[in-house]
Amino acid sequence: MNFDEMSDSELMSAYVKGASKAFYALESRYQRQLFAWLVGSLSNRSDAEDLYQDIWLRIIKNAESFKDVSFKAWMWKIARNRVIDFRRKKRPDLTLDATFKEDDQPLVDRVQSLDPGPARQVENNDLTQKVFAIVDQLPPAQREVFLLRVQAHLTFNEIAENLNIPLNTALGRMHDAMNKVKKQLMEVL
Amino acid sequence: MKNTDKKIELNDASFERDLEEITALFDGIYQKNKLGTPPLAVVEKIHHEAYLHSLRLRFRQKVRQTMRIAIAAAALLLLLAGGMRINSVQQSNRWIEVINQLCIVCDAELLKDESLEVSNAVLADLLMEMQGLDAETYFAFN
Repeated sequence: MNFDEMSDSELMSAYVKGASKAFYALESRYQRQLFAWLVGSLSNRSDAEDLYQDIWLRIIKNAESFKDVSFKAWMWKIARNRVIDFRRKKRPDLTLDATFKEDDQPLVDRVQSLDPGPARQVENNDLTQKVFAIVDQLPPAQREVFLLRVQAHLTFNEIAENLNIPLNTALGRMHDAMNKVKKQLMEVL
Repeated sequence: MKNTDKKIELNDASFERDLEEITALFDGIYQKNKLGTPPLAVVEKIHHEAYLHSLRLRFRQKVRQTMRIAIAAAALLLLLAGGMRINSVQQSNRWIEVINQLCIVCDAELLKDESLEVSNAVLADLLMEMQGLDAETYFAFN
């Protein structure tokens, strides 16, 4: 059986019937774009690895309930929901007036005192870090479209479908994001 | 700016070119830093889970298949048992009928105060006439 020539739905169907190699083929098909998107979205490789694993485990768990729809859309829906959940859980429920038990120092002071050390400054000079920082500064809606296009290589139609927005809105957000990224890259490079 | 105007502007060559450049830049960064591929250990763990789950799926399918066969066999057995029961009820009804007939004949013959040999002969004739009674049954009664 040549899995490379099979469609996503055929691979899922083969997997549900017991062909585990069909799943390996599917995972390898979306490995790069999903992982790259996670790294870009979370700005943290370790979190991206955890979520990457978690997303595929969810896909495995729900394989039987997969109907003959677009696997790609289904997978991205799971991935996006997982990232949203992760961010929600990770977001600290604290205000800047809150204090740490250790030293009772208000958070606002702690944040100000977190000056980057020499090692951190060297790291920040790296092009990769700068590019990531630029993308991080984008508004969430624009950032989402930008990452799905540039890192996950989704088409604008797929992005619009995935985010449940009109195609023109997706294009508009990308346009604005690109302008901002381009402008900042000019300053950096 | 109208939406339509914006769309035309977005589809222009400069937008496509910028997009290609930025995508290439990101691809380069990802490739250089190996950010596009998860560690082998993570991939292996996913594959291992997928394999275990496929075994579970196969087991579930086998159980379902066996259950289907068992249900079909049970239904067939029930049908057969039902048929046999109907048959045995019919047969016992026939015997009841034969016994009733015998009783009637015996009573009638005794009332006539005839000899036992005569009664037996009449009884044998009657039995021979009765539907569904074979020679074996006849001799058993005779």
